[in-house]
Amino acid sequence: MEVRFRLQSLSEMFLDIENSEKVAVGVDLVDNLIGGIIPGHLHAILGESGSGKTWFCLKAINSMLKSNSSAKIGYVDFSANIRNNYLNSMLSEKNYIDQLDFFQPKTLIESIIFTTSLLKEMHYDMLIYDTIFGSPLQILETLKFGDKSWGYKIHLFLSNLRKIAKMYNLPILLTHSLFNNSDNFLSDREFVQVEPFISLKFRLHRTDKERKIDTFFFQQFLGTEKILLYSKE
Amino acid sequence: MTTHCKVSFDKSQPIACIGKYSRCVNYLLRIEKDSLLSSKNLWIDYRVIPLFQFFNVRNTSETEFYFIECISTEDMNMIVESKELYNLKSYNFSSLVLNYPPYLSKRHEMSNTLEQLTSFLTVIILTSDLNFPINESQIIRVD
Repeated sequence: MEVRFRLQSLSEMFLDIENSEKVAVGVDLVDNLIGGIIPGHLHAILGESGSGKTWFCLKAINSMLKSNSSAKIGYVDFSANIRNNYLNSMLSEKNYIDQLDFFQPKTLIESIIFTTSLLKEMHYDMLIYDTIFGSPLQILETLKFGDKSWGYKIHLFLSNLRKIAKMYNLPILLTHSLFNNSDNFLSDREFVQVEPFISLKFRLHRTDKERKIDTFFFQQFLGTEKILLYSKE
Repeated sequence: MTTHCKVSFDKSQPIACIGKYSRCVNYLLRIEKDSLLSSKNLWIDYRVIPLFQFFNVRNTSETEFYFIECISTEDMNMIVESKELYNLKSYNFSSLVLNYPPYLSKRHEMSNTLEQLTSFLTVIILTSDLNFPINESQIIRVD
């Protein structure tokens, strides 16, 4: 496309987002303020282990399949978080499971190769990458040989995901483990930052008493909401 | 509160703004428009544009921003290398900000084109290190 046709003013960019058909995720704050996640964009769910990242993905799946009974969802589960019992108890309809395609890569490279193949052909209405770079342990495992080209590979991986979102007008959800203080070595690593590529960010917090979700829209803090995990739809 | 500072630069060469992206954006948006940005700016970015940061500025000043979001480094190369950027003058653009993606190359492949564009545009490159081969006096470090 000619460069001049790609120019967008701020108002046009906002209008594009406002007019796009959103996908509700079942989280009141997000659905009421924005209408849900946005096709053509990447969305990140960030939090420590056990904070509810997979729960959020399953909420989004239920919500999408309720509104579109023929939708197909691709679920890339790097940390093998999803187990059958959990899945059955979390999906609001039994037949929803037939509309999910699971891919469980054993390595990050496998996940990257799978993603590259999606650039050629797409069968899904939504894509989910659960624990996109793996658990903290898996990331350490990936890094232990000190291969400096990982920075480039991951940059390309995220760029390709954004390209897929734009090309097929898909909403893509990524979950990424945030690390506690003892994992500072990892939390400082620039290459595992997903922020440059995302439009909506959900930051999950876990305390003994409750769990909360902070929502950011283009880096603008929208607000926080208490969540109740593991409740059946 | 937003503070404004006025700084002068040699606009006949590209100017590199080096630092964390959000800090570079903040820096560019708070300096006075006659020092770097102009009334009509084109922002080419490989990242998702932080809309609200610009929206707040738009509502408080006369500075106008237009954007092109690139979806890959090849896409950015294609845009910068296209002859169409030379037409920006006819659309009254007078500043071009380019967020230079990491890992594109050690020596900036686009440098010739960008240097040529300085004949009618102020060219600003946001980058995270010193890869951009320009005069050292044209580097702004944003810490």
